[in-house]
Parts: sequence; structure tokens; C-alpha cells
Amino acid sequence: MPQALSRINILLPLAVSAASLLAGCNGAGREIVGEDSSGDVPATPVAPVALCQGQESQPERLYLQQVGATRAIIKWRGNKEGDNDASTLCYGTDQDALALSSQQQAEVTATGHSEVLLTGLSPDTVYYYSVGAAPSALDSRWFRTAPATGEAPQDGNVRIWVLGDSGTAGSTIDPEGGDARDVQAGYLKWVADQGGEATDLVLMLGDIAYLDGTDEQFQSAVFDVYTDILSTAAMWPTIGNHEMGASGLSFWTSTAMYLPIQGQRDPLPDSPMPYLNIYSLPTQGELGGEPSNTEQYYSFDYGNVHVVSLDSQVTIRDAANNEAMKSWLIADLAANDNDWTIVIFHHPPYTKGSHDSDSTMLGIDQPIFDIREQYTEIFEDYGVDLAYSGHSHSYERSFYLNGHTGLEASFDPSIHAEHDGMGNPLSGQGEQRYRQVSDNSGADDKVVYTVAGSSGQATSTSDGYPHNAMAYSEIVLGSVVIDATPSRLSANFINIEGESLDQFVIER
Amino acid sequence: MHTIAKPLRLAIMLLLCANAQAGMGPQQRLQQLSERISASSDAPELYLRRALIYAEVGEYRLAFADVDSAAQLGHTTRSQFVRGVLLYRLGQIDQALPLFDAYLDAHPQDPAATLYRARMRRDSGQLEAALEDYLSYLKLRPEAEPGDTLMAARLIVNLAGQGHANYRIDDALALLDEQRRLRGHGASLQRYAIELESARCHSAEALDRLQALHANARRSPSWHLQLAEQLLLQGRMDQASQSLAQAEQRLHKRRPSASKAELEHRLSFLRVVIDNSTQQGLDNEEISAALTHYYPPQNSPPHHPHRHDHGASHSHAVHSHGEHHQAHSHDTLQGFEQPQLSETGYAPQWRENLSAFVACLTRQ
Repeated sequence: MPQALSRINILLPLAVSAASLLAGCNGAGREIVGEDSSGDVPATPVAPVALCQGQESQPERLYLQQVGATRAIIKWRGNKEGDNDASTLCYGTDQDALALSSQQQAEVTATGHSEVLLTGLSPDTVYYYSVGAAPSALDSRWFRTAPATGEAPQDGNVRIWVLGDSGTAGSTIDPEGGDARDVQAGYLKWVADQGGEATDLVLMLGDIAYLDGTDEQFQSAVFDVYTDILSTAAMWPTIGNHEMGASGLSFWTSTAMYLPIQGQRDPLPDSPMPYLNIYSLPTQGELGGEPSNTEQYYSFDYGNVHVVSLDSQVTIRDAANNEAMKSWLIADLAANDNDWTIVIFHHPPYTKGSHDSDSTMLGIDQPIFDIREQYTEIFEDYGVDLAYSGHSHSYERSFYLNGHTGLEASFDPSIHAEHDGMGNPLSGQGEQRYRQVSDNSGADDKVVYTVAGSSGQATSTSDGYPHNAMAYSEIVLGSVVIDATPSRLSANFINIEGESLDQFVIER
Repeated sequence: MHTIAKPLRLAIMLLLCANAQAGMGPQQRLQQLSERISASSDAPELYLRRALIYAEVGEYRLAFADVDSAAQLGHTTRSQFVRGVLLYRLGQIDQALPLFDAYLDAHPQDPAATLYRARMRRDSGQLEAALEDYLSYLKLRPEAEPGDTLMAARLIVNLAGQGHANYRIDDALALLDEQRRLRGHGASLQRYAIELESARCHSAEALDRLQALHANARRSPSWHLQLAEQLLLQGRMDQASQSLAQAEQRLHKRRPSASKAELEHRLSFLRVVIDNSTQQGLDNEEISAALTHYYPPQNSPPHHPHRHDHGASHSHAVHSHGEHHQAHSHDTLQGFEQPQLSETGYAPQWRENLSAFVACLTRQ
């Protein structure tokens, strides 16, 4: 339960919880009449509220999608107790009294996912829910809706957890999943040390489930690892190479061509690609942004933060689809006037980690070049602040960059980076923190590019490591936390001990 | 059992070493598949999957050897597909296409092969055949990417442009609209439809389509500018001016950026055009004549008065270039301030399209 939620029930001021009051009662339409716990105020009769009557279910996977200001999707599958999957859900703002009128019937997809879309929600408000439609919600089943577009949340800060290439748990890389769990533990320790502010969004930078992105691998690499956090914060992904299966990665330029080495394609009529069936992503501008008409790339607003997810694995490999994605991106960013803009995609434009941004690897890493040569200019022209990628299993954080579209050797800090006037690149830390509108150029034309692909494994480097455009590089397990207030954005890289190894700040 | 000859094994080992630093790269995938093939040598699908990985690392000889193995084990049609994919990657479309034809004869509902063949036909200039495959693919895959629909529409436009009697711009628009109905909003499809309507000076239709984007685009100064352009073309100057004001208001709040600078240039250009027309009571034909004077179509020498001295440029412009145009443009130009095009900008296509825009002024 979030700290802010350990409060007196504001809707039904009861001396005892509604759930306990009603324990043992049968039938709908049970009346609740409460009184203030102090006893000083006469009992206030309230309208009878019929509560949900189902049984709480323990799905094998339970997660949130598209949590916006007025809507959210709750999705689940399986039942750990061996019973049938729950088919209904109740929700409300009172954890202990989920009204029967809130009960929703889930839609079930071909891959067996149950999905409930909640609409008409209030912005920046905590909702509780019960899968199985019980009258009260477990402490771990809640979410906070986003603030209205352009607004900061009540606590003033949007907290975003960023995981890259995290999907090693249960794979041959890490059968026990210790590394991914350690990264999560490090993040949670850091959060606790910083006051315990809850996570608003989880961004996943691709390679979410090794090796093939099969449904089974998603279970062991995602749902079995991040169980608690995924029931309270929406997960927003981008497609990594392993989401297309591990076979013939550079050949499959349509999700119809998903091909695992091990495991199965998903059954028709769903997509063969499990990623597309597991996630329910906005295609119609449901949460702001330009409608993309595909789940492969999309955008959304979360209060004063605009997030864009690009497809650097499939879409970008076909010229026609790539042009469509670029046009969409320009239209999307042209309509965006939020305080902060973050773009995620899998292939990093600058890296000297386990992949080398100076090599296409015979086409496998062509998207690295495509992103650098075709997209970075758009980011910089349209006010993007941060770009996050994975692919390399490292943490590499750039200076505040503009116009670096060539190989590493062409990087010149006096041209391509925010600098001190003498050509020395600024670090983004302390006195050298960045300004959103660059002091050098007088324009909002610079982006910090970060490779954060070490949330499941930290592997190797390429010749020339570290990349000269990077302010900080390290091959170490960890994840990134972004905190965005209306006037200040900070990003920390957190290791498995819960320590911040790198931090930078952009101020408005 | 299929065995790998010694030199090939050596090549594999070298490959594994070469990629050793790539983390979960091709070498692990090859190793994984090779182990599975060793354990189950009659699994042709495994050979095909390994063939694709060999091809990814440039080992086409090994890749084709695996395709042969799969074919020998009875996986003939699937082998044709993978062999075709490899040949396509090598640029050998002429050899690849018959393989896809054969595969699709056996598996006409296979979306992956249909899309691959569509792209091959497109790349080899067989536009009608490519269109046929794209349309099949869109039926087979309702969740196809917008780019695939756009490609099909562009093929129709190209065919119409080449004079094929069976293809018209209206067909492309009908396809875009049909796919929009199937997919909801279809903003990118709508944007292409707007581009097509604008290109043929159907500003009323373009305007309708633009307004359909209102819900998601209303925060975009660029969208308001586009509205203003179309309203101007329709001679609805008051509304055009209002849209321009909306664009201006939204642009004013934006942080300085290259995209903002470009929009500001476009905005000030349109503002000058609209102000000229409203203050002088010009109709579209007169505006067209004035703009043509300042920005002659390509192949005509452009007139460049002192770019930052509008007042000084007027008389010079009239006297030096008045002979290029009809008599009435002389009078028109007397008070017509020259709208300035940006020297640089993010959307050069708009500048390139100026002559088309000017042509549309007289066709409303």
C-alpha cells in the first residue's frame, strides 16, 4: 500500500471496515450505516451500498496497462490456486468497500488474457481493485491515475523506473533470475532510502524476455519477477530484438514473421508475437499523443511528461514502415507541449558496450545507424529531453547532445555537446547541470541519450569503450530512476546495492 | 544424420570466437540450435532457423547448406521460403521471386510470405503485382502496420501517375478510408489523404479531413497552420486568420527549437499573404499572381529583393519583374508586401510545394 493510502476512509467513515462489518452477510444490497470513529459526531446515514461478493483471485500474471488520467486497463491470466481464471473485477476508491456497481466482466483474448478497461476515472486518484470481485482489495492491488495532461501530480513528482534488457530470469542466461531480482531490490532500496515514493511508470527498453520473447519466457522473466510493482504501476515497453524470437532477427520485418528458436508462436487469431498479445498499448491516442494505429510504436501523456515508444526492431527495417513511423513521430512531437519528453527504443545510437555503434554487424545492428542518422535530428528539433535504449548490456549516459550523427570518431564536444564555452562538455551534475533551453544555443535542442541495458545482465565492451559522447559508462547491473517535477528532471542510475552511481539534472 | 564437414566446423568455431563479446548474440543462438540439431537431426525446421542465423553473420554458404538439409529432410516448401528470403537479402530478386511464387501457391494465406513478395515486387518495379500482394496482406493481417497501407496507397498513386487507366487517386483515397474505418482513427492514413487532396487542390476535402484530426491534433500549431492554408485556399480569409492566430498562440508557448523556428517562418509567410489580401481586398487570383511574381516556378529566375527590407523591395520588385506577369499583377504588387521564405528550415517540402500551393489559389 502506498504511504499516502494509509489514511481514514473518506467515503464511508466507519468505525470498523466495511468488509469486517459485513463479514458473514449474504446477498446484495447490504446497507452500511457508519459513524465517525471519535463518537463525537452523530452517526451519518449514508445510502445503502451493495458490495461486490466474489472471491479474491491470485492470477499467475497480473498487470496494469494504459493507466491514464481517466482510464486504466487491468489484465491478468491464470490462477495460482488452480481454479478457473477470475472473470470479473471490482474497483473503487475505498479499499474496504468495492461497490457491486463497479463490477466489470473481463474480456478474454485468444491467448487467455482477461482484460478489463476502466473508464471515467478521476485524475491523480488512487483506485483499488479486486480480481475476482471481492468486496475489498488486497494491499497490493491499487493504482494511481495519471494527473490531467500537462499537470504535475499531487506530490509534485512523476517517478519513472527504467529497465533495459531485463529479461534474463528463467533463461539459460540466468535460470534463477538472481540478477534481475537484485536489480529490482537495488531500486526498491534506493526508493526506500529516498522516502518511499511510489513508482508511477515502468518503462521497459526491450529484450524483456530472453531468448525468444515467448509467452512462457515473459512469465518467468517479467511476471514472476516484478509481481508486486506491476500490480500497482503500468508497464510501458518497446520491442527489442529478442521480442521477435532469436532466429533471423534482421530478416523479420513484420511481426507476422515472429520466429522463436525455442517455444511456440502464439495462436491465431491473436498475433504470433507474444509481445503484442501480452501488452495492450494505445493506438488511437487514448492517453494523448498522435494515434499511431499500431502497438509497435505509440505515445502517451502522463501528467506533464510525454513518453514516446519507437519500434527500432521491426518497423524501422522496412523503408515504407520506417517512413510512416517518422512521419507519425513528427506529428506526435509537433502536438506535444508537455514539460518533459522521453523517447524509448531498443537500439542505441551511441554505444561501445556489448554492441558497437560504429558497426552494423552485417545488418543486425543497422537500426543503430538508422536511429542515429534519421531520428536524432527529429528528437533534437522537437524538444525531446531524454532518449533511453538497451541492446548493449551496460550503462552508458551521454552528455547533452545535438547533431552527432556520425561514427564515434566524428564526435566533437565543442560542436555536439553542451559545453562550458571552452569546448569542455558539461556533465549534467552539480554546477554543470543542464538547462532544457541550452545556454550554448538558446534553443531546446539537446538530448541526453542513455543506454540502460544492464537490468538483467552486465556483459562486455566493444573496441573503443567508453564512447566519447558518454559522460558516464560502466558495465554493471542496475536500472534508472527518472524524477520529473515541473521545473526539474533528474535521472539516477541505481546499482544492486541501491546506490546511485550516476546522476544528472535538467532544469527548466 | 546430417553432419558438418571439418572446414565448416572450423568456420563455425571462428565465428563463435569472433562474436564472443556480443553477449547474447548469434554465437549462442547458433550453439543452441546446433545442440538441438545434434540431438534431433531430423528436425528440418531447426536447420532453417540456423540458416537464418548463419545468414545474419554473413555465412551464406553455411546458410544455404542448412536450407539444403531441411529440403532433403522433406521440408521442401518451407525451404523455398527461407531460400527466397536469403536470396532477397543478397539482392537476387529474380531468383527469389519464383521461390515465393511456388511457396505461396502452396500456402496462399501465409502473411509473411505475402508481405515479403510484395516488397520484392515493389523493389523490382512490378508495381501492379506488388499492389496485389499488399492488398492481400492487408486482408490477411488486420493489425498490419500503417506503413503497409500507406505503401499500397502510394503504389496506386504511382500507377495513376504513370497513366494506368485502372488506377486513380480516388482509389488510393478509398483504400485509405477503408483502412481507417477498419482501424479506428488512422491519423497517418488521414494525413496522407490530406496530402493527396491538397496536391490536387481539393481544399474543401483536405479541410474536412484536417478537421477530423481535431481531437488529437488541436494542440499542434502545425495543424492550425495547415488549417489556415486550406482556409486561405478557399478564400475564407477571416477563418484563415483565426486559425493562424490559434497557431500563433500555441507556438508562442513553445520553447525555442528548430521546429518552432520553421513554423514561425511558415506562419509569418501566411500572415503576410492573408493581411495583404484582406487589407487590399485581393482575390485568390491576384494573390497567386503576386506570389508567382516573388516566387516564380522552378526554372524561372527567382526574384530576391533585399530580404530584410520589405519596404524597399516593393518598387524594385514591380519595376524589375513586372513584365513577367499579367497586367493586373502590377497594380496588385503596388501594396503587396513580399512574404519571406525561410533560408533554412525543417520542412523544406513546404517550400518546394509553394508553386503547387500558388497554383491551387487559382483553382478554387
